[in-house]
Amino acid sequence: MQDLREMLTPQTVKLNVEVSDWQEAIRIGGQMLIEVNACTHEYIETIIETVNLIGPYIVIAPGIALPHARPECGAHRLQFSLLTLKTPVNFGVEDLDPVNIVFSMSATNNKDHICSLKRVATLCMDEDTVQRIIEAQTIEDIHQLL
Amino acid sequence: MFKILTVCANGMGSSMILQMVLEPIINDMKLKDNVQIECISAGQAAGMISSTDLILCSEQLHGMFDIPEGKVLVTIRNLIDKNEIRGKVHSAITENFPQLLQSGGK
Repeated sequence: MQDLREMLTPQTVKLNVEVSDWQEAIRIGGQMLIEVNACTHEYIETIIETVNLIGPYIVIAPGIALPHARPECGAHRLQFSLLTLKTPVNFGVEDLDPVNIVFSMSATNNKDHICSLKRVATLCMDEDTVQRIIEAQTIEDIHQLL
Repeated sequence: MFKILTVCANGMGSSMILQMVLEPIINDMKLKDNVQIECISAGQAAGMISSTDLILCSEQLHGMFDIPEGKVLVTIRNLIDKNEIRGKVHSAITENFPQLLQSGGK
């Protein structure tokens, strides 16, 4: 199985992107998953619909979002993408906004992604690493952290 | 066996992260052999809450499922903040299930 480093490629990493709102952040992060055939367009739209329905369940920590849906919503295979935002945007969680790191995830079952999800969570636990992700200019900067 | 459920919208993200962060905390509390942690979606939670002692979810999901009397809900703001989770889980157990800490489990 691919590890996080192998999954984060020039096709699945976009850094310092300007977005106008949280929906655009999810769509850009999601578009990278769609373009590597990891999920369908519906999978990404389901994430936005679910946030509209139940609230921003995808914000996991200050400044960090993990957009994802259920496997049956259109996931083809396990894949992560990373989007960092030039100007952080609010997702609607008072204490955790604004968000500037978006790890989008597509997973086809509830087991195979555990290892890479753990990797993402561990990266995000370290303040210094989070700062370096925010400041990263190139994919090499990201790979150095992995 | 003392049962902890971590719950999120679809059982794939937040609940798994909570479980990952919680496991070493439970180990540190020397409760590993007496506590079972499971992660599930809010939809599945309804059927499992009756056999659960403690429920953890993110603050954003508070109110998404009913908590019957006798069950304790802990809501977490930052899902990867070990200190927040350790503090809240420790006080919830001390307050509601002191026998777990004294006897080293049920």
